[in-house]
Amino acid sequence: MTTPDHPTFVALLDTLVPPHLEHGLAGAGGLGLGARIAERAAGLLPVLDPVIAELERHEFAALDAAGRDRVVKELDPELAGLVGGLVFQTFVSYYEHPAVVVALGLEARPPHPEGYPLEEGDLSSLEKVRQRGPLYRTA
Amino acid sequence: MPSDQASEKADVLIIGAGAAGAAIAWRLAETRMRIVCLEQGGWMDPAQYPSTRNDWEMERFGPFGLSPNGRGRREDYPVNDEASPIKISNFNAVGGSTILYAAHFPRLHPSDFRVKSLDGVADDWPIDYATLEPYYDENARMMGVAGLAGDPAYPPKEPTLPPVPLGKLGETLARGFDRLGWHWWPSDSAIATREHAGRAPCINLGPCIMGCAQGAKGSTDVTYWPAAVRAGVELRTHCRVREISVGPDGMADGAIYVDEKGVEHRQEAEIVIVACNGVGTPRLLLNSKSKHFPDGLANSSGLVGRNLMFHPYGMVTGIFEEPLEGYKGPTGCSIISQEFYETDPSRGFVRGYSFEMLRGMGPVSTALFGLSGGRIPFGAGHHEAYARLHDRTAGMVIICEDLPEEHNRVVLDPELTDADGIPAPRIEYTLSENSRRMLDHSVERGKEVLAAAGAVDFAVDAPLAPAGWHLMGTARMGTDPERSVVNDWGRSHDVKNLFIVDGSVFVTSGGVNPTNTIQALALYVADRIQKNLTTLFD
Ligand SMILES: Cc1cc2nc3c(=O)[nH]c(=O)nc-3n(C[C@H](O)[C@H](O)[C@H](O)COP(=O)(O)OP(=O)(O)OC[C@H]3O[C@@H](n4cnc5c(N)ncnc54)[C@H](O)[C@@H]3O)c2cc1C
Repeated sequence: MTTPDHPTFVALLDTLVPPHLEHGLAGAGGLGLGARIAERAAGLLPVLDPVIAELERHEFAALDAAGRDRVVKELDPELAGLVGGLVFQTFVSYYEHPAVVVALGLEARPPHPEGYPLEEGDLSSLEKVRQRGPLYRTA
Repeated sequence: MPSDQASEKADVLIIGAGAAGAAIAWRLAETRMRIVCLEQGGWMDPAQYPSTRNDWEMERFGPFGLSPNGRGRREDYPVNDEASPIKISNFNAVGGSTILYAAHFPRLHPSDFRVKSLDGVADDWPIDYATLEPYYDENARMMGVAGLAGDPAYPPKEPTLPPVPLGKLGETLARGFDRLGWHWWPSDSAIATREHAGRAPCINLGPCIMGCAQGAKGSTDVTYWPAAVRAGVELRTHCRVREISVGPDGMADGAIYVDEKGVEHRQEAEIVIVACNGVGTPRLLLNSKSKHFPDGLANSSGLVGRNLMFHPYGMVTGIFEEPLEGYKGPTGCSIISQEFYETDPSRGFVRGYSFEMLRGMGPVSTALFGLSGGRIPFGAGHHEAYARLHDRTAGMVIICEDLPEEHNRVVLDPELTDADGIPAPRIEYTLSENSRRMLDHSVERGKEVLAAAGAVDFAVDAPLAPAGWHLMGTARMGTDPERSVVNDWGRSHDVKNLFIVDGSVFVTSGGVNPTNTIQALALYVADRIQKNLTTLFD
């Protein structure tokens, strides 16, 4: 049974989105995203049982990053298809995570109610556009 | 048969409370007639819009999605659009599809009303730009249109509010147009850039197309409807009209509708106005069969549902090397270009298109864009690939004029129904050779201008599948009852107290977003009803 904190599942998440050393960020597994993924896509984890079983055959959790990467990329197409759904959910949960958003240089908050300031921008070149004269056809 | 007694008779019954229904309700309110509007959706609560939550980006796959088939809302009706490369996008609530719209708010051009005379294709409209001009102006005041006077692509017009700020992204794109010497202009946008008529000013949240939590975007639940309700219009929500009923004299005499508990009611009326949009309106007319009208109401021409026009959209996303701050600012409103709007036969197609510049993407959308296009892998190299896209994308959409063709149509699906068992629409649509050539041309020009602005890579999606959001032509306007469904002021040729005011009545589509014109038409029809009240049914 695949559970959010199953060590092989956590290692798989860390393989899909690895730790970001420069940003000092853990990978998707280390950030504990399994629970969020289970909450968001309730049906997904049980479907992954055969994937986890296959990874365990390779003692996946004990492999280094390169070894894990290779094992996942070499999964047979049927199992790789199942991983596809997980990749989508992992990307979503990772890039929604406040620590990740902050590491990207953004504010970890919803757009509303604070909003964002926006520069008016330079409209001076419109004078040239205007000088071309009417572009529309009179009917 | 309806299960309850007829409600008190209305003078005017409007069906649909979207862009057009709201405008005509407000405009007719000053007549002091008893006006009832039936709307299948409810009032939206802006405090619940996605931009108030951290997981806002994912709501486009859920209750704020574009397709009525995937939102899981009872008030939606399903649409079978499998036989169309372009899928229907809409919203069903008070405000209609303006709840989701981007509020890009251009007008049609004078030449758009004269395509047969000027370019020898399709048909001329029975009205012209000058007819609609005062109503465009009135609509600009009510919707609060931001923009800049002096655009050489149009006859003179005065926006109500200052333009939406360009931001770094808009300015970067504008420089691309400058380098090529192509037309660009700040977009006309139904966005309150200053406080306007009780609406708070825009604070550049970004995801306008999932509802505006600030109330700055001009969706009609915050523009026309409050004024119309104050003026005495009765807006009845969660009322889905099953059919328009007809009396022994062949005149419309009201509508049969279902409330949210599934109970049927009847509303009688002297005048019936349909404003259910270019798909909802033909669906309702085709569902309104009777002894007098066995092929559907107002359909003696056989044209109800036919001549469906979308605007085939192309989308070109440019990838830049510099950050663009693209997550800030109204998604669909910054600048427009109409360099290729008017016909030039040397391009290999007739008519033309607009470029509408979009903003960038939030962090989740960036990841999914990279995933679907194969630009961001999982595993090794993930972070480097993500960094190359993060805040470095700028999108543009291309709005191509679609010409009317009778085989493109809305019919009733033989099996599919909504939650109340009412037959649902099916779309039959193919892209014409002219549209395909126009799309190809526009995508190449789009890449050219993005490259001139500094883009180093591009992603292209054309025709853009979910872009069936402009719904036009399915109950066209005209003077000949055999070639059109309504006359030059929206009155059905067949049923003299039945009016249609949404995009269904468009004769041609132009190459711009339609809502400003839909509403100007609704105001114009209201004016004509008002002026002709004593002889309305002659
Ligand atoms: C994502 C998106 C982005 C868009 N962006 C733009 C843009 O930037 N600029 C632009 O000009 N346009 C845009 N549009 C299109 C714009 O929203 C429509 O052109 C406009 O709302 C059409 O107005 P309408 O009144 O004809 O129909 P709608 O606004 O769709 O309103 C029709 C109403 O009728 C109701 N209805 C239908 N059938 C029944 C029935 N049987 N009984 C009771 N009620 C019924 C519906 O619930 C709905 O509320 C966009 C649309 C979408 C979906």
